[in-house]
Amino acid sequence: MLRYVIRRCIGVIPTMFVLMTITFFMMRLSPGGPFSTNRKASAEIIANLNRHFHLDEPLWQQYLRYLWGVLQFDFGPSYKMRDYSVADLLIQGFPTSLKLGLAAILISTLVGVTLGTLAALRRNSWIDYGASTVGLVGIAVPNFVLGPLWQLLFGVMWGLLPVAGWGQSWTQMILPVVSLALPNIAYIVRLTRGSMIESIRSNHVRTARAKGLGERLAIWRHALIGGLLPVVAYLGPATAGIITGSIVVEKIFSVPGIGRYFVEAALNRDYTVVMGVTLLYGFLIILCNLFSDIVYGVLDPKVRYE
Amino acid sequence: MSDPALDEPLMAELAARKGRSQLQDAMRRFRANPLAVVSLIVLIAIVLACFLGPYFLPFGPDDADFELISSPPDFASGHYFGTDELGRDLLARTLVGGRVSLLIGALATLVSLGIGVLYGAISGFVGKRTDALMMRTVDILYSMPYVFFVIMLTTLFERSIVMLFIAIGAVQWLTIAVIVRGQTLSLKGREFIEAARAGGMRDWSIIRKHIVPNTAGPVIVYASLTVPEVILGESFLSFLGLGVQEPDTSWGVLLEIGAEKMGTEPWLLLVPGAFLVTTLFALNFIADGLRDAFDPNER
Repeated sequence: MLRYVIRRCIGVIPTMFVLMTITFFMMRLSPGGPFSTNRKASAEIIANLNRHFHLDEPLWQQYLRYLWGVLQFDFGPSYKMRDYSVADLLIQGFPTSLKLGLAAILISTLVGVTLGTLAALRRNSWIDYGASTVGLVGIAVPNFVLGPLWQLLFGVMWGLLPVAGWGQSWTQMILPVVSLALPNIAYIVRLTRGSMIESIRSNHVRTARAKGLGERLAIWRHALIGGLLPVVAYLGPATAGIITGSIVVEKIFSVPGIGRYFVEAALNRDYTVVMGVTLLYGFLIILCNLFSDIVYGVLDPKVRYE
Repeated sequence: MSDPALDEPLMAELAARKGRSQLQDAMRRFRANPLAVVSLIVLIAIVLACFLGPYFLPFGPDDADFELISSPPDFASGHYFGTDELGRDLLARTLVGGRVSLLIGALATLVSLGIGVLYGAISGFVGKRTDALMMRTVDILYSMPYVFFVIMLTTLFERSIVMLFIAIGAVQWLTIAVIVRGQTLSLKGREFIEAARAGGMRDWSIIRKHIVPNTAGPVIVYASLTVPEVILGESFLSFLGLGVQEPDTSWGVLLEIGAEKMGTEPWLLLVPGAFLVTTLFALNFIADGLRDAFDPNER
């Protein structure tokens, strides 16, 4: 077990390295540069800027320079936002994105598992149909349709919640978090319902019941662990989904997270910012995959570590 | 002791019964699923509306009607779904935008199928170290934040529509590759492959003629899941301003405009939203139907 964990942790390093290399060269191959859209600057100024940021060096030299920086946790300056380093931007925006993402993951797990379990326990009841509806809507209706719709209903028409913004009041968190959580709730409901139905019928749960254990305990202690395995395995993709979703949700609800920087930076060829965000989010996704694999292994004794 | 009276009709029936392929069986089961069939009809209707509908409308997607700017849905003026801030007919724009979204959905899925099926079949069939290397590559790519790649690819290709679906297709092939590899591994040991080899068939021909056709079932099911995902991906990118660019349009572009204006002109959000959501629902039901049809034990 421990050896497996250590090996997987070491495996993160080459993956990050590949991620960095691909991102670096893809970004540099795209036409234009960070200063090419600035029409006011003369050719000499642009040449000077390029020299200042070492953009006139051969690509491999720039790559090595970047690699060396990353090894020392120096992600370079932003080319577009003067006087800001990439680290500054990330430190500024990440806490917001993290708060939004964690709240969404927490809520989607809680709601998704509860709904899915209830649906499995009371099949073909109204709660089961309700859960399937949530499962369908969350998957088929994208959050960039639902988000504005929530704004229209709760913000504009009924005036119950703030339409957009962040940080002034906790009610501003409700709509973005719900929008972000819903697609994941949908997946988790489907997963939990399916696996709980199987788990309730499984031999060890029947044995627990046969030995006289109450229904409640049989479900809580025995069925739930087996039933939650697919949800644990889903944690990695869920993180990726939340991160993807947060780019849109931050835009819709004007949340000052890092998702918004990323799109702008990609359009402006702000190489270092794009690299920084990609590396940070890539690292997070890899970490969550790792975490979910390890938890899965602890919960499921059938998993063998070769 | 056998009873000839009982056996004869049975034998006759068996002789008369034609063999059915796995595909025919699956299609029969699919037709028995009302939700899936209705969804298929809805989808066909939407596709026809998008590709033929604009020819029957009195307004083109770019015709500005300066008398009726930002007008709400109105039957009298002929703008059944209203107009946008330039007086362009929303129905015409939604249908033409749908062409782009649906085309990207179909073409990007084909691209990802092409790459995925070949990659998986080669990896599984060749085996050994090639397989290990190819699958390790997939593992690494799996853990990458794929949205970021698509976003970077779209900047790489200067956001042309053609490159957009190649970019989306190029990152969607991983799961298909894994599925096809699994299928190939189990097919590889079967007698008919051995027979083909004994008959002197080359590896490449075996992959093309025997391996790939036999993976059709799971591939069709997965492809049907990929189409809505790709359409969603395109809308996502266009919504962020990274995909299709004005004056070209797609459902994502229309939704972005609609989201900005939804306080005053909610129809700009609701109409393209309804089209997109209906399409996605239909595609999801069709995918569910196909999965049940190809894999009846999984129900």
